[in-house]
Amino acid sequence: MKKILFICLITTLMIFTSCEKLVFSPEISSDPITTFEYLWDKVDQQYAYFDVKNVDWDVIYLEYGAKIHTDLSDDSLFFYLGSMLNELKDGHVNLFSEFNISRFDISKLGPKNIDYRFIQDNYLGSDYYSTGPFRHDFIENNQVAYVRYSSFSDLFSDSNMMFIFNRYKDTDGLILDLRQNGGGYMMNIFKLLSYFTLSEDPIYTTCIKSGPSHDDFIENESIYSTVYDTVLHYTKPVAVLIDRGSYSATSMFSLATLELDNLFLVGDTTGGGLGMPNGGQLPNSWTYRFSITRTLTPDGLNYENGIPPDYYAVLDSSDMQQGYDTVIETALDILLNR
Amino acid sequence: MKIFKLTLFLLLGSISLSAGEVDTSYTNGKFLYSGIGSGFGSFKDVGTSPLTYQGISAIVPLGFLLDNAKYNFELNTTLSYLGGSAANYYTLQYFSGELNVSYLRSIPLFTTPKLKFQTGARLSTGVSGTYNPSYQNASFNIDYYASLYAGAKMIYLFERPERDFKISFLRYHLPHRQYAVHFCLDIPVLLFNGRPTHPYVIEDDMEIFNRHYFLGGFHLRSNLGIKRYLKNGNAFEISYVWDMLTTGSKDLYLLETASHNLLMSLYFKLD
Repeated sequence: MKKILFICLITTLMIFTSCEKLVFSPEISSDPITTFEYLWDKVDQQYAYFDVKNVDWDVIYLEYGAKIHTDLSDDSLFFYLGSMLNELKDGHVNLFSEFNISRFDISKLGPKNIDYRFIQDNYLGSDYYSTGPFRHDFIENNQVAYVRYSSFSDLFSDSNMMFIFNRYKDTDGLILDLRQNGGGYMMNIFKLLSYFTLSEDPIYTTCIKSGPSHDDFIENESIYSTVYDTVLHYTKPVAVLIDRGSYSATSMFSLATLELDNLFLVGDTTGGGLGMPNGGQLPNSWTYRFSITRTLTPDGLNYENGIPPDYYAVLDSSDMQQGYDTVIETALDILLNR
Repeated sequence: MKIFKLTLFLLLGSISLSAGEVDTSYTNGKFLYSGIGSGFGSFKDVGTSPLTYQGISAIVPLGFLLDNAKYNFELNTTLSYLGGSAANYYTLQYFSGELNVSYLRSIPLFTTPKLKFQTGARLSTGVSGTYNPSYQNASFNIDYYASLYAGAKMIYLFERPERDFKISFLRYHLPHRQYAVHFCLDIPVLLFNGRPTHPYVIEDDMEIFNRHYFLGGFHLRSNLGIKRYLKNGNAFEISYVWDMLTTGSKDLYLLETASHNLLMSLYFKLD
């Protein structure tokens, strides 16, 4: 009898295995209201810059929630969700669908502060050097080096930098043009910075969200510049040119220059974007990203809305008519008269 | 679910205390085994997406088995893979590596010359990795887990005698064959997890050990198969392997995985 009962028990277990759907959580609905509330909730729990952006996220819920209903088309839903995210005025906040990408264009917070064709025509000429991702040559009667780096996504090598620094070792200064550089790889920040410093200094602090409340962060972690003994260093004055299109990794590089004596910022305030974006998906399969870390100076200052330049300069049309890039000329004036 | 697990564990536990010697035949011995299997599976990690990824799965076990009249000891490592998709264009890769060890005692109370029943415990520990480029900075993740199971295994032994027969003018000869059909169920007792913390990202400095460690959820497995023993003592097995895991409500997020694989294994007798 025991054997029969036990065999019946085993048979029952066999029948009910392989049925994970009995145990797993149900699929979440992909209707517009659920999708809206899912996205709002994710941002509410994980976004790192509510205090700096001066946004009442609860008010945003009421404002945009009133516009969402179950019969909303995908196009309309995307418009409302994208608009809701753009209330954060953060270039690292995007909504991605198969037909559109929402974005807040940080560069439009200020004037476009670079015309690269103008620089080629009036400063570099046609025989400039192209070393890795850098476009460079002597300017101002060979007194100053001009180096253009357009994206931190572009990789470079020690041999690239060694050529550049060897070529310009007798100059009085160097202009590193990072205007409209939208960012890229974090590792390139430290690598580029390492050529301009001989010591490991704290350059910024970072902290990541640790919980769902707007104030839940782990302790600040200090980040240091890196120094490599085997590379050539350039320790003469460096003017770093920036504008509103200098975003993300470029902003972080600019933040780091605040702690170094031989680098200074010329141009317009950067676009900010000092938080690391993190991604995910919505119930209707769209994807999103927004900033989940906070970056501060070693003194605790928050420059998420942009790092101001040491010397403010924007392109002036009358200067351009005479063949001058106002920002470059400001940098030259400082480098040669320091 | 808790009452069911407790009841079953107590039942199997009390039975295993009365373990003793049983009559076994050709299944005894030490074996090295390896196999390959494939099938389909599903994956959902609420920390990054509410969508369920479904697709092909594969497993490769490699292990050692010691089976005798008193007990069954097994040690193996299993590599698993799941390539899933969601919404027709997002793809996800899920890899895991496990180390399993089990010890099952034969239960004479439910054993006959043809039917062998074993219960005991199994311990499993592993690491899994997930890659999904659509998650951007959360593209890559690592999870750790360790499971303790109450294991139960039922084996039915049968033989096909040698015989000759004729259909019309054709003569057929069926050689003697020895088979064992088994059903094995790993019932979850404890699941220890190392899952992402808030807000689910591994930062650039690869803090892969900065996890949320907790006890919760369960990992349930079953294996239904048939093994044919060869004259030299080796064996060939085909089995259906089901594996499911859920991290439960104590997780900051929720991970649910399941796979259904058809596994073919070769057993090489060592003694």
